[in-house]
Amino acid sequence: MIVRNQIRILIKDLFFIWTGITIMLLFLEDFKYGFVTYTLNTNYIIMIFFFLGIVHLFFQQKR
Amino acid sequence: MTDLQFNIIRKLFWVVSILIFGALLVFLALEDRVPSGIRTIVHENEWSSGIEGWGPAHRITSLSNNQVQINIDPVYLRVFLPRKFQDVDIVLWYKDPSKKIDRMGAQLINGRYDNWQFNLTEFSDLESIGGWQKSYVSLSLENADFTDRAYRFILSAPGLDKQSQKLEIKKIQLTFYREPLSWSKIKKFLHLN
Repeated sequence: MIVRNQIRILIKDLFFIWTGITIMLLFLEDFKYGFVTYTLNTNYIIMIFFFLGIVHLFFQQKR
Repeated sequence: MTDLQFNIIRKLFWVVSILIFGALLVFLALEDRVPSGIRTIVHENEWSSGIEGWGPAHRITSLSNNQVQINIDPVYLRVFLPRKFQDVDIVLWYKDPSKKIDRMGAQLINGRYDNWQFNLTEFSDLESIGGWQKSYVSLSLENADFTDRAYRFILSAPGLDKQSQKLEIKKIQLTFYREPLSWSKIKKFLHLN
């Protein structure tokens, strides 16, 4: 089914983008201590990353 | 949806995501750099990630309407900031029936954990509104301790423990000042001089 496949691709893209964002923010946090945590809560960024990872895996297995 | 339409949507999705992330990075950098040189923090005794409220806890009683009662002096307040500042203007809203409130100061660099030193400065009264006294103090942070990216402030009210009427604090406003970001600073940073 085309639509289902398209949703799968979009979720994969979203997961990849969020992975990139998480890694970059955590690197920045490490290079310059407090750069991110002063304004954002990094726990939520990591939590969303794991959540998207689970959704991504779920859609991949449904193929 | 055709494959062509989907591919356009997918590209748009990537471009928008990257733009949003770029904007987030710019926002974080501005929050970190404080280009205007002024950062104002208002603490109304509510939980906030940037402030460690009045303490130690056993000297404080929480009242209704987010007010705190101070039973024994001195009490401390820690303010977390992204970088160092040069001066701070403090405005304090309080009720002090026994007239014991004395001075406020920032903790100075000392290197000894058992001997804290503060640049205690006297308050100047601004006005009295609805039973609340509003007082002002200006402190230099030139030699202030900035361990763990936080300034620690002391509020002293000697003899408060012997009084029946305690000190109540409603709100504190701290305005921090540093040199604003200028073109000459950017040139120096980029070694363009």
